[in-house]
Amino acid sequence: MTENICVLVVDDFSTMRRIIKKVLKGIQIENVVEADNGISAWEKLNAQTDPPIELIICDWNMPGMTGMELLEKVRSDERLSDIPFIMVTAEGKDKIDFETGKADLTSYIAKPFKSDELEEKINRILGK
Amino acid sequence: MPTSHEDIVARLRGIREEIDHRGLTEPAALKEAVAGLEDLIREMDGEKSDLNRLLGLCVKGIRAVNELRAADTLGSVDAIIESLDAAEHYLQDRPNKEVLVREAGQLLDSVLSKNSARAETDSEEIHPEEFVEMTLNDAAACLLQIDSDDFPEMERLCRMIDAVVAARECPAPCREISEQALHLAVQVVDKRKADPDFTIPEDAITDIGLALEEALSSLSENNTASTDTPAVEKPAPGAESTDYLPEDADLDLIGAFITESGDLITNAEEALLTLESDPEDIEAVSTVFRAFHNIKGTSAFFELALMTELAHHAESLLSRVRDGEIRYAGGYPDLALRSVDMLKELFRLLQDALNGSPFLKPQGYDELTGLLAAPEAAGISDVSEPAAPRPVSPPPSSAEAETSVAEPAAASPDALTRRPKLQTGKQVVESSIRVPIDRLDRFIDMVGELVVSHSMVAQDQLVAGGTHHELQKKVAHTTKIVRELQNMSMSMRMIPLKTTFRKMARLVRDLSRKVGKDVSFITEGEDTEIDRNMVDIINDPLVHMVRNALDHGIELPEVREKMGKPRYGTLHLSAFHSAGNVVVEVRDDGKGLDREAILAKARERGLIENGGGMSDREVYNLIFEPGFSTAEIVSDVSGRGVGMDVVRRNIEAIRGQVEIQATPGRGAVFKMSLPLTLAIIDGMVVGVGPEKYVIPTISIIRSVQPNPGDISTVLHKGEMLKLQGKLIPLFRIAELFDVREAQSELPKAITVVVENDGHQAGLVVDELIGSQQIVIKTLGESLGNITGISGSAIMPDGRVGLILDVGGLVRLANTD
Repeated sequence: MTENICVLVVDDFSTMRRIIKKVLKGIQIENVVEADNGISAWEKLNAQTDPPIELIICDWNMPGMTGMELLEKVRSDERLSDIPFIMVTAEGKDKIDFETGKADLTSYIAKPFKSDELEEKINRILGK
Repeated sequence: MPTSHEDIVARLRGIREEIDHRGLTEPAALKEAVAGLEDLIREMDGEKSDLNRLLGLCVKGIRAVNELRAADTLGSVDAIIESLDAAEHYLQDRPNKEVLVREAGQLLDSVLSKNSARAETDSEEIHPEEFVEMTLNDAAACLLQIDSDDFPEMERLCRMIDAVVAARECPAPCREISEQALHLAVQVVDKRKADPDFTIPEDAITDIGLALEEALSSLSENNTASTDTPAVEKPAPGAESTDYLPEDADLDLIGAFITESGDLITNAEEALLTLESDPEDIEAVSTVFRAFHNIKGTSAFFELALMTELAHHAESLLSRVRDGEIRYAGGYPDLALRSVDMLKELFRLLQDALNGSPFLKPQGYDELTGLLAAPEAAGISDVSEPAAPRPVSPPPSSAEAETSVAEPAAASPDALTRRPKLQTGKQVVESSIRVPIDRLDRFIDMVGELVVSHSMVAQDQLVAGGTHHELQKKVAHTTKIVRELQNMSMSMRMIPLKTTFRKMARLVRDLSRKVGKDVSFITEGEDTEIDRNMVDIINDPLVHMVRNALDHGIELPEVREKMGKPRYGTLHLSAFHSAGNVVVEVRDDGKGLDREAILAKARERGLIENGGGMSDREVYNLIFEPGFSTAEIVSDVSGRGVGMDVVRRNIEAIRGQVEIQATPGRGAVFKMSLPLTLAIIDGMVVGVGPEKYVIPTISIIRSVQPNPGDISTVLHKGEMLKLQGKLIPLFRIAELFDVREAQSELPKAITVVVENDGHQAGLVVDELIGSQQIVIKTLGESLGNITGISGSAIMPDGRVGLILDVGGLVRLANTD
């Protein structure tokens, strides 16, 4: 059965977006909005989508607006602050722990990840 | 008893000169060189292992070049010559000999490793399936070129297909179809045996071709089926043989990854060059960093360990630059650029791997990752050694220049986000699609045909006759659309010269280091657009010219100072439009050309007798004459296989021109003028009797109707026309091409004065019909080389008009 939810995938590298989309498709989520940086992601978050965006999967290091900046913006907006946010990053774990201590991150996944790792995280967050 | 060093040195020098002198095109020379080197290696066996290894590499390189397997011919030959020089150095016990030999070996190694992928498939162990595929491909190629009465070739074709059918490894479906093809081919041959006048019918060729194609595609189906379970056998001789392509790789996604990473790497390389002139450019640092970062993350997902590892190390290096821990200077820029090169190589290999070859670790990989992991351990630091001068390019006019790397704030990831408006540019790029170039070419050809057939309609008596006004209106409207369509189709193939110029920037950087010269490289007009097909053609000449300028134009810094010039030489590479042409110029402020040396050489080579009265321009252009080896004067590059005559020939083949201007002591300018596009010229249609000819408008100076008194006949030169005090040779087109009923009285005819390469000639025609854009059609193989004709065009009335080859005619007039 196809999940009727919408996921926002933010990464400046389109191959990565395709990879994540493939993982999502594997768990029957086909409703995906893509953005190649934080700024356009922010625009897409503020535009009405049907169904509304219920999960954000976002790259850490992007030009324009980084993942962390996007996260802060999302968390400080009362309409969006509840959306689960998964950060995808290739930074070392120490740095993530340090940074995430400051921000309200739902989860993060370190590159390289396996399809099933991401799958599992998504499933857990969406409460399945 | 080992041979004495002097003897070896002399022989080495002999071999080097042989290669220098005779060039790449002479297989005999290269065979001798290989034999000579192999003798040397045997004689010195075990004596000098490094040296022997180097000479061994040379042999390998020469072979590759000789068998046309080299991926980078010019680079290979350069590296070979350099290695031979290094070997000579070594044997003469000069300073730094070990370093030189090692460096030369590494260089040659890396150049040759580009060939290795191809060499791999060329080597003895051809796969059985490959044999079938290759033979089928050969057969198809042979079929394409077959003439309708070439029966020996047809029999050869039969033998090829027969070999496929007989091959044990040939899969059953492929054999079945090949048998059909063979049957058809044999039928044709049999018919000929029965009837000597029988010619190969067109549809028989088509049928055989279809069968061959089908056989080939049945093979590839078979192959894709087997790639799902890649057979990692093939124990490669000796070294590295692990296939680094994971078995369950998602080929589609990897394809996208390769394409996207290609752009990233290009940007990274450009940013690295910028960074070298402005190490504080935080923008550039983050561009490069992000490229490595993305490649690292994504390749890791695909389990492409080689890329992940390299990108990881390169990323660490850049993050140290970003965090202000090291300065981007000294040995680091080289290291970063080498990483970019290695990544490019890895992606090339990955691409090949998608096509079925094994994904092997490239040569020099371990060494580079080792260096990257601990550059300081290998003595690399950000302190410039005085021996390695750094070329500067003009500082980019970046508004962000004041952002300092040393500021602590800049070290946080946030600092990386301060990107200027570049983002909008990216959006534009992304809204494009890639179209295979052959499809585009076919499209443009079709539009060309459309233009011609449309003008046939427009000029038909029924339309142009004047009574059908409605029809005329409709045709006029179509004319407008067709013209717009044509303009648009032409612009589709135009791409900016930027990429080519960037390559040159890299070349200048590397080369100026190598020859120890300080050079600032300035480009202008890199947005100038040029026909896509021309980009490849001008690349080699440009490399040539840039190298000439660096190698022999610009002097060493000390020499320049003595002459009162700035230490830094300047190399300008510019492109601009001029009179319907694109002009690409390489200008240096070096020592210019030595007129006397060129003349002496030309006399020695028998190209001229005296040359006393020649203008500077004529003298300089002697360099482009075939047989003028310019080794001592202009460049030793010219002596390395591809001469300046080849440069000129390549450019003239696309109706371009090349010339040199120079001022002794002040510098030289190499100038290439190229047509905007290869497919269309502006032409003046002229009438001679009932025939029509086209003269390229660009070469026309003027048209005159001369007075009888201005025409004289000069012994051995035929008729000459006195024009403004100069005598120019006259060609009667009617006589040249045997046209009857043409105007024979010169004063009544029209003389079109044309110029090529500074020489003029008069072409005598009956009338000027008008100028128009002409879609060029080649004459085809059999009519390829007719003096005075460069191509043909379909005239609006549906008849064929020949395009006059002005360059050829002018040369003909001046050599007689």
